[in-house]
Amino acid sequence: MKEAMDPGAPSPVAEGIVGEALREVEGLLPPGIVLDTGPEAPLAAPEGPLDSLGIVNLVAAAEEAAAHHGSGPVGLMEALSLPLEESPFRTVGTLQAWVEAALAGKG
Amino acid sequence: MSRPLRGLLVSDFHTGNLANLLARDESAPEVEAESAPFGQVASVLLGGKRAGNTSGEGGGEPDFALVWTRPEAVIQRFGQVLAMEAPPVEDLLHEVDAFVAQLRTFAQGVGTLFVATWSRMPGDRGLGILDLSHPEGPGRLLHQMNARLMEGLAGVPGIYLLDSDRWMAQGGEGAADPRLWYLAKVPYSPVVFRAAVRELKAGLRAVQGRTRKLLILDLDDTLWGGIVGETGWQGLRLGGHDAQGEAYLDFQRGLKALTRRGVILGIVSKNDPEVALTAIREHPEMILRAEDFAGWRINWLDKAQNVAELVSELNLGLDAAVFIDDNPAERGRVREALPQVAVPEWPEDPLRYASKLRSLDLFDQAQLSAEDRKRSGSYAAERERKHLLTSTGSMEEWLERLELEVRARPLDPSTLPRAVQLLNKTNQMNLRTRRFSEGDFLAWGREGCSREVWTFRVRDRFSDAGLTGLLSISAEGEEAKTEDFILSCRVFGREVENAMIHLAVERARELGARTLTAEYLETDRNGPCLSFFRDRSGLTPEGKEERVFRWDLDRGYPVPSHLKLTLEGASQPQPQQAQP
Repeated sequence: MKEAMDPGAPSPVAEGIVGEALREVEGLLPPGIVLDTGPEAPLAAPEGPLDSLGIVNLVAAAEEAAAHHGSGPVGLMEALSLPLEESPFRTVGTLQAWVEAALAGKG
Repeated sequence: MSRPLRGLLVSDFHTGNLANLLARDESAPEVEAESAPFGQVASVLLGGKRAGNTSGEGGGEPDFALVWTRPEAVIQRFGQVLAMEAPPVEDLLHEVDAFVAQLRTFAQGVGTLFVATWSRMPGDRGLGILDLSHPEGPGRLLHQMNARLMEGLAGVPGIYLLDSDRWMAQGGEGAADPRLWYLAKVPYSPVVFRAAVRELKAGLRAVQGRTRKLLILDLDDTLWGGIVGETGWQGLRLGGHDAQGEAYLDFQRGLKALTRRGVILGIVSKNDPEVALTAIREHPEMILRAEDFAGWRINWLDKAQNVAELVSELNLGLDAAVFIDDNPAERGRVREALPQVAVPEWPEDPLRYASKLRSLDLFDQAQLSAEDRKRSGSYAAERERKHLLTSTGSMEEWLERLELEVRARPLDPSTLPRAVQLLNKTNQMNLRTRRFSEGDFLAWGREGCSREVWTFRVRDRFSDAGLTGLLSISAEGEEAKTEDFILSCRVFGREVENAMIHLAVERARELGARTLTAEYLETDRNGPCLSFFRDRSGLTPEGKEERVFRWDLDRGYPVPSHLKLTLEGASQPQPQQAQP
């Protein structure tokens, strides 16, 4: 399966974990806010819709989703202390890449 | 369309997730929730109205508030309990009393106050096997604190306690997420907050009087196991040494318990009526008998049509009804044809029926009155009244033979809960359809010196319907206004309405007015009230649309001759009865 994929695209597992987490987080946002799930969509404020509580919700939701997918922790707690330019919470794509790397590291 | 309710969340923890879940929840009523600054519970509670000054359009006092705290955060000595410092129990409970006093003060500045009981996380074992028996056991002390909290708030108008243990149970081992706590001061997972939202919404619907009153049931494989038309009542699975039979019995016990808190039952079933009613009469294990049902439609017609007809026969709205049927196709049909009727999903396994029934949040009530307990029986009495009507020559003769007695009494603390229930639940004979919480209605009655609120109890030879009428009037200068004119559908159409007008006229005269008006405010349900004022009240319609009715107070208004009106309370002069 993985061999046939676009090398730049996240694996279905990473995509599934992030997608599941975003759906959970969206339900915790004020009414009317819909999270864009495209790879370029910004996540963290000020460009994105997630404030500090939203990011914490995303961390918890992604770790839960990883557990649902049978993975271990994906290390997002540690990512909270990174400067914005290195943060996985910049966009959906950077978050997927972080999760992908974390899964590969567990590999 | 009504505006969303404004809510204020008061807590020692971050309630942002809860506020957003509340605002996103699509079940009625629509809510806009604001979080008070977290960690400042005492200052918010003592700040009263100022703390509840919500932003946004409308502003002002919130419609409701939820106070949800962790016990160690608001009761300092409970923190000492958790640290095994063994503070004196009396001091601990005094702190609870002080918290109760703060809540009672705060409640005066909000429409309705919900207070969550204190919980621990499901996995917290406290003092282990000594947790509930040792005097220092945190579990034991938390039970004592919650009991004190309940005693301190029980019966306070406008305050309702919500059981947060149920919300924790929904979360199970995942009720708490330490990541959320340490990173954002959110102690609970979304699953716990979602359970709280469901409970809070049910509470708000109850306070608004949106409680469902009628539960319509299918028979075969719903009230009993099997098809009665095929096996006869002797072949049904009900009771006996049989798991399913016991489960159906438990389900019926649950239904019977609902009737004792005011829910009325009906039957809509595709069956031969004589066969089905014979089963209800003859099966020795039936908990529910024919007199437990307010009405039925047992035939081979479309169930949605039958539900609509039964609801109409019982003088109720479709939004008061719930329909339970084991057959998903029938549930789907009723749901599609009658979207106002609540049709809960129903388990396939009858062993789950009783627990499913107990979990429904459709019948929550803001008050439980003596009238609620009698409601089911009153429908049986109504059947007898109708029988009398068919054997009587005229409406006048029927009214005479009912031997109606109406007792009017000024509103007092003993009648407040039922009066507010009537205000919030009565739709048809309701002049202005004002809705109030107990606290707000008391406050309204106290504003201005020329307001009076009267309650009416009605009985006849068949039954005592209890407190079923409410009249509020206010007077300013020479004009008295009818603010509330409410009569339960169980008693209207017997000229009790005219006796209420008589009292309104007499009290308006006493208040120095020269005219009495009643302005009708239309809703989609209160057409019967307009019909009464237009056709049977004797008051003069005014205005372009003839929605204001007037009575000049230089004329008396007679008490209908077929009923006896008695005024109760402090030395009330008794009315002059009209001669038959």
